[in-house]
Amino acid sequence: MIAPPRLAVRWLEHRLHPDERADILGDLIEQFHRRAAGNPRAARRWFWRQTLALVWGFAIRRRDVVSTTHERTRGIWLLRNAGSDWRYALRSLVAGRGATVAAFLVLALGLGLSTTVFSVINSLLLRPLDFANADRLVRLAEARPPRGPASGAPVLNPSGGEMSDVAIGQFIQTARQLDAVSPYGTTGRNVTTAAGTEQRSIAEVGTRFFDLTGITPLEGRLFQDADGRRDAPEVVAIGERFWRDELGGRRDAIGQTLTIDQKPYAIVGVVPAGFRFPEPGIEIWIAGRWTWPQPGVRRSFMMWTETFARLAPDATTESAAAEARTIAGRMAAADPAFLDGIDVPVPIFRVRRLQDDLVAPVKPALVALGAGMALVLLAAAANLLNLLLARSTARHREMAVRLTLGAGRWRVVRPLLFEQMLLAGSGAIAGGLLAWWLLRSLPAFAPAALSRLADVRLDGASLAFASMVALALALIVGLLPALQLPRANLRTLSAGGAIGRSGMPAGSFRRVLVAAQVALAVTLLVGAALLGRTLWSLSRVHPGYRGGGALTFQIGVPDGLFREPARQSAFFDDLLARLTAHPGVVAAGAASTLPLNNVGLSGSFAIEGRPKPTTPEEWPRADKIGITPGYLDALGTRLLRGRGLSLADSAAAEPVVLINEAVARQYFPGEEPLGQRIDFLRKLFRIVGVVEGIRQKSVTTPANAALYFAAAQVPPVLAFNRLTGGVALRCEHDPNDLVPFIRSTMKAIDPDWPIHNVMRLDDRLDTTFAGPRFYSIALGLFAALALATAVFGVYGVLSYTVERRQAEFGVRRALGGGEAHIIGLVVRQAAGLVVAGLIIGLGLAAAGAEVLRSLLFGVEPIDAATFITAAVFVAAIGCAAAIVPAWRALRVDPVRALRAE
Amino acid sequence: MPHTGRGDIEHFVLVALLRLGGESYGVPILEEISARTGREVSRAAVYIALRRLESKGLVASRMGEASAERGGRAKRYFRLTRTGAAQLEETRRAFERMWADVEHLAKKAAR
Repeated sequence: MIAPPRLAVRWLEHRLHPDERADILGDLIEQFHRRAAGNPRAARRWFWRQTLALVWGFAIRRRDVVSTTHERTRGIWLLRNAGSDWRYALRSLVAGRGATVAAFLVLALGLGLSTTVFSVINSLLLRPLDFANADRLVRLAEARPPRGPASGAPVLNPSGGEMSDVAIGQFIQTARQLDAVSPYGTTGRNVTTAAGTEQRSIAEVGTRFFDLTGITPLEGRLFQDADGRRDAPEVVAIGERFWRDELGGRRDAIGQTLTIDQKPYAIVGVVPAGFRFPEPGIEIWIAGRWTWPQPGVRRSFMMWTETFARLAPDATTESAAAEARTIAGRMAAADPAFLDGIDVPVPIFRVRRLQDDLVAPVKPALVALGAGMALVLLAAAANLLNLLLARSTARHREMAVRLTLGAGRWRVVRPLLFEQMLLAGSGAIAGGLLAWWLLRSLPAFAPAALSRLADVRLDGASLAFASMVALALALIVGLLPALQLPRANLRTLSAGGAIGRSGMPAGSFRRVLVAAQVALAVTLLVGAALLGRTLWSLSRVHPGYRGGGALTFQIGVPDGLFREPARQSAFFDDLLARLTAHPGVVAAGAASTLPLNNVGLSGSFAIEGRPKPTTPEEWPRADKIGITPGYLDALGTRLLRGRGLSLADSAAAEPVVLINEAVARQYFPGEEPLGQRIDFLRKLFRIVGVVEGIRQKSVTTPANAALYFAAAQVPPVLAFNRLTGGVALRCEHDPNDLVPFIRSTMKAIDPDWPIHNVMRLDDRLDTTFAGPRFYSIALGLFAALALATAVFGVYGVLSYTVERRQAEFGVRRALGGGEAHIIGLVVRQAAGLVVAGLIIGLGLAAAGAEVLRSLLFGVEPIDAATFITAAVFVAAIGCAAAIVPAWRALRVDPVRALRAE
Repeated sequence: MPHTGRGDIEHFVLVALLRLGGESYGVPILEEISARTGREVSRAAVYIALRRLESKGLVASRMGEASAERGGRAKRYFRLTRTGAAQLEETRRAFERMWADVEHLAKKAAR
């Protein structure tokens, strides 16, 4: 007998409703056979024509059909009868309450945290500058390594990203590959308005600065080249907020003068509030009027400034870097190699894309957080999958029945998928809300490097991310069980209640999932623990000063005032005398550099009686800090040997100096430094004391060699620096109580000199901890979440096996198996899962810990103790999760279990 | 080929069932209609009409035997119900009343 075209038959089988499939197809095949007896080929053609006509006819006419039970199934075939499936999904979610809530919580937390991290990464890492041509901007930086054989890594200038005034001048005048070369320096300065004098954030910028971003002013104009000339009137642009708050937002503010440090500046324009390049918070921009020194001219000090530029239309960072090398060569040729015993290093320039530069400091942290986010999402997905597999296993019988009765695979799987979509959807909404809340409250805890966190908003991209991830999770997790549907429907059915007895594939897959969850939890926990160790190590560092009860503040002294030594010392004598007169003050002193500020002055010195070194590298080097007698007492820095400074060390007395441990160790090994003299600034300073090292730059950087001079015995520029220096106080009680007293004292001396950065030393120190604390809390949260999913996982799998092995446990109990024996059986299974997870997790952690290296302090990325502790902790928790199922296994009643069999 | 409306097909199906002795399955019904009307009717239309008639209670169906000739698929037998037969008779009478004395006019108009 000739068979009808198979493809056509299959097609019809697929298209026709199961109820009518048999008779319609049967009729068609019957007629086909009659025709095929005459002309088989014509019959086949006829069959195809009829098939097409049927499919077409049903497709267009079905619409006219009055609904019958099966004909109500209209709409897109994928979603036929969707309503009932949604209800079904909802019902089964409600039925499995505990598991549903657990899955929802994990999902909401996972999506919330990862959406937060995504928002942060997206705005800080992927697009840190959001204006046109932002990728053409570069930062110029200059390094000045010593000439001759390098002694260690090339040392950049004071803060690592700045240019010397000589170099800036060369670039502005000769660089062809760069446009709008703009120095940029920020300071706090005293601005006098109708409301009084206040310290304001001010940027002094090159006249082409605003060209970098191409913004237009809200009112008036921005800077022109003419504004930078020495003979031009000094002009400023003011920020929109300052304009509205302080000048009432009046248009006639343009052209008015503003008094900054008691000098008049003409206001030429208003900068819109959205302008936050390269940092937010600047209130006033001064058009800098610099004269750039030429190379080869001897000067006592160099000015260092951040410098930005834009690549010229045809230039690349490479061509700009090549040009910078040419400029460096020219400068080196003009400079003498060695001047007065102080080397003049050859400059090296770095041209770096500004976007990369802004991202660099936060990149390791964000990469670590991003990796943590990915791991948590994986754990959440595994958790969902686990829940679903547990449920679909329980439903295998029902599914088998439906499949056998002719339901399509899609129809059987769809309720499961809908269930996942409901879960993922509600999880995404809750996660979105969580992310929104986190982004609002995070900036308060964020470390300084992440200060731009305040700018991060939950935007369209973040929401799109959350919904995409949720949808992907739902699809993957919902469709996976389709692969696990029983194939041999009838056999499964006839096996009756004993489905799964022989160990369903779902069971082993779930075990793999749980091991993966354990692995993720260990990985994250190791990361969090490493950061926690960092925090602990930091808290144990002795920075060389004692925080409790100490307070520091800076003084907004106008430029140029302290050029007169007499006036400067008179001012500090007066101020410190008034402060120490307060009964609550134990000690007070001023210094040219406060702890955790950049060091103002650093360089070489000579030791009396030793031959002058012939190469620059051999010269002793140290930070040089001018202090008043009470300063070290106020900080709580200990005097190790000799004596401290006193008021007797006046300008007229013998010049003296204190050295720190580092100087004693490096330059006086095995010698008595006390009594020796240091040759500096053509004077000889006698060493009278050795003090402990102060970690000046940061808590994590060991103390540099440092010399402490008596302020009264050195030039004013060394005795005090208004940018880095300030006053330290030590009090008997909470130093914050003294702030009003300090303010009134300052006002009594001069109402136009405001104080700023008033901070307890403890709070200053705390900024160091903010970073590690933030990262360890973030990773800790991730780890906790992953651990929770692992616990759910272990618990779920064991409960399931205990249920399946009830009969076995019953028999074992009946045959006299002891409690320990039964518990051992269950816990051993848990241990297997956990150990497998631990091995993978520790491997993952070892591979990933390197990412954290730059965030760690006092602990190596591969730290055995941390790894072992995390592993033991996870193992304990994993086995604890086995207790409830084990207890249940004990309670199995042998008689009932056997009867059920 | 003139368009055969929904009502016409249902009418054809009912009459075909009547001619086939009150009970039959798809193939004879299709063939009866084609033979009598002299044209190929849409297969889908006939099946849909059968379902509609069934839902209106004018036709009842039962599954029959399967055969090798049908690729192992069962027949569905449709039977004219008492309501069906009654309505068919009512429709026939209505048509007759409507047609009384005007047959020659229809032929003339068609010419």
